[in-house]
Amino acid sequence: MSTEMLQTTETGTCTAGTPGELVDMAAWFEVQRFLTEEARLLDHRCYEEWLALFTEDMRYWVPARKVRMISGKPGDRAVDLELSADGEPCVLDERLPQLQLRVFRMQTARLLWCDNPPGRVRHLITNVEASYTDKPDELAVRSNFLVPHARFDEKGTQFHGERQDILRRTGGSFKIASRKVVLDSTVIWSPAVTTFF
Amino acid sequence: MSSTISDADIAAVIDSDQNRLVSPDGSRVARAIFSSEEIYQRELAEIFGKCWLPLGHESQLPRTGSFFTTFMGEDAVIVSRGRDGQIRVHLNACSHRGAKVCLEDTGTANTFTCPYHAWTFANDGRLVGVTFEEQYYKNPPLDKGKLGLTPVAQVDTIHGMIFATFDPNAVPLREALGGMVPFLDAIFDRREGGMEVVGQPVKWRIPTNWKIYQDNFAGDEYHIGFTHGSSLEAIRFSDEQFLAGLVHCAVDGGHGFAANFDPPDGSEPYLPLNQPVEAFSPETREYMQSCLAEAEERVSAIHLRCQLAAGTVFPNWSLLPIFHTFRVCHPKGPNEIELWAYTFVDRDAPEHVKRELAGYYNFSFGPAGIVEQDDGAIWESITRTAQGTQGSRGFSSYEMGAGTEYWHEGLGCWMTDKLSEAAQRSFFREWSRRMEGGK
Repeated sequence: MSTEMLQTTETGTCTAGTPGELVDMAAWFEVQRFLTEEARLLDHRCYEEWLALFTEDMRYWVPARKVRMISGKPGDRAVDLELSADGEPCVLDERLPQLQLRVFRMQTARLLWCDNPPGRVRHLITNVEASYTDKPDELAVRSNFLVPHARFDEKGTQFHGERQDILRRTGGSFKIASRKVVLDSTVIWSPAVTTFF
Repeated sequence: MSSTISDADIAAVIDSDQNRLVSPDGSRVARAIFSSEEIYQRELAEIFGKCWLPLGHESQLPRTGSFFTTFMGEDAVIVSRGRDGQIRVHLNACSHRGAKVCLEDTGTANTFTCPYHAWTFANDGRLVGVTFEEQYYKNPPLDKGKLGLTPVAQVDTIHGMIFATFDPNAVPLREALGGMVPFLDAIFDRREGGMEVVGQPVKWRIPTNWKIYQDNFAGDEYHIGFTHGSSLEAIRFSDEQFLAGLVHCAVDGGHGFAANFDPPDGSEPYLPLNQPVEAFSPETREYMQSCLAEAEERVSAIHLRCQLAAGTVFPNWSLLPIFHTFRVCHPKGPNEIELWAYTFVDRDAPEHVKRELAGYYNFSFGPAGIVEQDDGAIWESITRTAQGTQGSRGFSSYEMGAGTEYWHEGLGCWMTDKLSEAAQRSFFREWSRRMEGGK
C-alpha cells in the first residue's frame, strides 16, 4: 500500500486514503523518520536545512493561550477555545519570507545576543499520528513535543505542547505546508523563544 | 541575595546627599535598587500601592457582566462591568478566607462563586450568597454588607484605557498623567471612536527587575544599534538614520519617551504614527492617509508631530504605538517581571486593515520577536550583577546629555534635541520621590 501510494503520489494521481483515517505502518514510519530528522536539524542548529523542509506557501503559527473555565456543554472542552483566533495577537504567525529573515539572522551570528552563546535544545517528538486528508498529496500529522532549553550556566526552561502539521509529499519525502503549535502554557516562561517547535 | 538593606539603611542613603540611591538629577542610580528585596517591598507599598496603574481597555468589557482579571503590583484584581454599565475593580480574593473567586482570564459573569465554601459575589462586589447561612450563621448573624469583595480606591479611564489606584488620596488620573495627556491624545484619540484592543494580551516572563525594563522603554534608544544589531541587519534598518531623527522627552511625573519631532510649519502633513508605510498593502496605506485630516482636527498640531516612538508612563505602562501595541509590566519579585503585550487598532478601521496592522507586531516584538529577543538575557544579567556583594554597591550611569534638557513650552515637557538619557533620569527622579513618601 505504502509503496504504491508513494509511486502514485509522484505522478500526482494518488487518491491516498479516506480523509481522517490513520495511514498504514509504512507511511507512519516515513512520517516518524521525517519528524525525527527535522528535530535533529533544529537540535544541531542546521537552520538553513530546516528551512528547506517547508513549502513555498507555508505557514508557521503559534497561537497564544488563555485561561478559560469549561462548561458541561458538548464541545466546550475543546482546546481550540483556549487559543487565540486567527488574526488575534499570538506568539508567532509567519510565512516563508519572515522565516527566511529569522534564519538569515541566526546564521550571521554577529550581534545575535539572544542566541550567542547559543542555547542548547532537545526536540523530543512523540505521539505521532498521521492521517489522510481530502488532498491526495497531503497528510495531517499530530505530534507532541517537549523542548528543554538551556543557556549559559542556567537550569533553563521547557516548552511543551502539540504540533498540528500538514505534510505535503514532494518527491520521495515530505515538506511542511503548515504547522500550528499549541503551547501548553499561557505565560511563556522565557525571555526569548529562540528555537522553533 | 548576599547584600541586604534594612529600612534604616534605605532611610540613611535617601537622607544622605552623598550616597543617595538616586542622585538629585537622576543621572546616578544605585545598583542595589535592581535586586534588593527590601527596596522591592517598599516599591509595592509606595509605588504599586499608590500610583494609578494601567489595567486594560474598555473594549475588553464589551457588555454588562464582562470581566477580565489582571494584577496591580502583586495583587490579583477583577475588572468588571456591572449591570449599571459601571467599571469596577476588586481584589480577586474571597472575603471569607481569601481564595481567588475568579479563575479565568476573561469572560462574562453576573456573579463570582468562591471554589472554597461557595460564597457568591455580584460583579459589583456585593456578597450575595453565603452557603448554609440559615443553618449556621443565624447566631451570631453575618453582616453581609461588610463582606463584599475589597474594592480599589479609585477607578478612571482615559481614551477607554482603564486605570485604578489603591490610594484614596491619589490625585485624579488626568492630573497624574499631566503633560502626557496630549501625547496620549495623539496616539489613542486620532479618530472618532478611538481604539480597541484585539484579542487577549500575550504574556511572558523575564527574570529581571521591573525598573530595568521600564527604563529601557522610557528612553534607551542608545542600545538599539548594538543589542539588536543582527535584526537590524536582517531587515536593513539604518540605526544611524533612526537616531539622527530622534528627540527625547521627559514629562513631569516620571514619564518619558523617544519621539520623532517635526515641528509644524504649516507645509508638511504629519506621518500617521510614523509607520514604515512600505510594509503595508495599498489598501492599508490608503486608510492611514485617509485618517490624517481627522487627526489634524482632533489633536493638537504640535503633539501630533511629536510622535512617540517608545515610552514609559510611570510606573509600569509602556507604549510602542508604531507597532500598535502597549504593555503592562507586572512585577513578580525583585528579579522577575511578567509582560502583558496588548494589540490595539482604530475601532472604526476596516477589518482587513485592522488585521494587517495587528499582525505587523509579532515578527519584531514579543517573546519571539526578532528585535525583542535580544533584550531579555541582557536585562537578566543586570539583575544578576546587582545581586553580587560588590555589584550591589555600584552605581549605574544615566549621564548622557545630563543638564541639556530644556523646557519646551509648546509640548509642555522637558526635551533634548538629540539622543540622551533624559527620559530615564525623569523616571528615576520620580521613583526616588515616591520612595521617599511622595515629598
